[in-house]
Amino acid sequence: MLRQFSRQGGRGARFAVFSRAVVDTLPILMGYSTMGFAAGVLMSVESGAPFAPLWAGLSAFAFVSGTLSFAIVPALASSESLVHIAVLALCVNFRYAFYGFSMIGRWKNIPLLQKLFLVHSLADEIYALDVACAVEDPAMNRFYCLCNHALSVMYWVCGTTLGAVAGAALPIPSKGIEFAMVALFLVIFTDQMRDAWKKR
Amino acid sequence: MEEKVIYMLSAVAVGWAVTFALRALPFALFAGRGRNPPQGVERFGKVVSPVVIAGLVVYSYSTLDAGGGPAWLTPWPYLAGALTVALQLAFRNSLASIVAGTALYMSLLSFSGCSSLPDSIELDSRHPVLSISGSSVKFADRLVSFNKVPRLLKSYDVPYDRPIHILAEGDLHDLRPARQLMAVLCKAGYTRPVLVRERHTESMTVERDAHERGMRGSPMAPPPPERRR
Repeated sequence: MLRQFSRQGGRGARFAVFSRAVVDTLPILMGYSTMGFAAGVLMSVESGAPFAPLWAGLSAFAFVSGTLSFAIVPALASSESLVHIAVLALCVNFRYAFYGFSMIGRWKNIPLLQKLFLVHSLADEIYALDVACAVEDPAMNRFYCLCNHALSVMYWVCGTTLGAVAGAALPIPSKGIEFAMVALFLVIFTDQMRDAWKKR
Repeated sequence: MEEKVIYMLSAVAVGWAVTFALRALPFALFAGRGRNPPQGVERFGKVVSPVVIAGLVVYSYSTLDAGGGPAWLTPWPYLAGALTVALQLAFRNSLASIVAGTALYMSLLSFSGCSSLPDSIELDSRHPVLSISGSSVKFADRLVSFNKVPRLLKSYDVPYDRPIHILAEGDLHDLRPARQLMAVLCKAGYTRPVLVRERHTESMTVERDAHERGMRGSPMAPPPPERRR
């Protein structure tokens, strides 16, 4: 692995890969920070939890899943049982169980902590970028994935926390805001249908 | 407060554990043994995921609440949903589709007068506006969170010194949620929450936003104390 680094130009190559990840994650910056903002507002307005921004940020980092961040809010508001929440998480994030298959080969021989982080943050858009990554050198490819995951998670957590702060501080009209979750499911479903249609 | 914090912590932990387990499943199954996953698995995922998401669409529609009744009986969520899908098909911009659909739904709700709450509530111990069963609170038969209750009472101009009956439904093995609700009310200034087991007689109607309708000072709603606004 070391030899490959030096052949590629060491630190310079890493920087090149990093800046590429920064550019590639720009759409994610737009999407995650605003979606996160919406999830944060929803959480602070609806969940009825004390210190909403703290919970919004913590759960955003723990889930790295917009779907769950939206879907869990009504359950939190009515203090549903933990079993209910587990089933909810299982249902809304079922699709994540299939993302890892295409990453097994690529993420072999990664230090455990890095691998845990990569698996922990394997969400829709992040996964799409990983798959589309054109860096051929395996070590550099993994470094690209790490940069991609770290940057995207940062955008997501920051967006959610800011949204929760704003939701708690500003009188944001919120009646009907829970439709955002329905719309999110509709959008995911529409994309899945389109992909299935294209492959025919 | 403390209970809610512990509850939130465990809820986040459970959500994380399930999500992480799902993501780690392929690695746990196939990574260690150097085997390749069978072809069928990915195909299975591609069939099952849309089915699950379709189920979620139906489920989330059924939980939408347009005030007095479920929103799926009104055309609004379908109009907003149609806009969301159409935009997504046309532009593939998830965020724009979601924001536009949600904005349409929110404005349809407010323009259609589908107010999420009745215009007036009965502050009557025969029909207590608040009821508690298990750990969930209902305000005018609508599930609400504990912390929202004072704001709701305020929007109806309920006087602070008015006894507020809370109907305890079912058998109350665990008094903590009821106590928490009463603590929330007391902290907000409503000094006389009363937990009742049965419906009694004694009636009073309070109009929503009586203040804005010039109802203030009427015998029905005596002027609230100084600290109100």
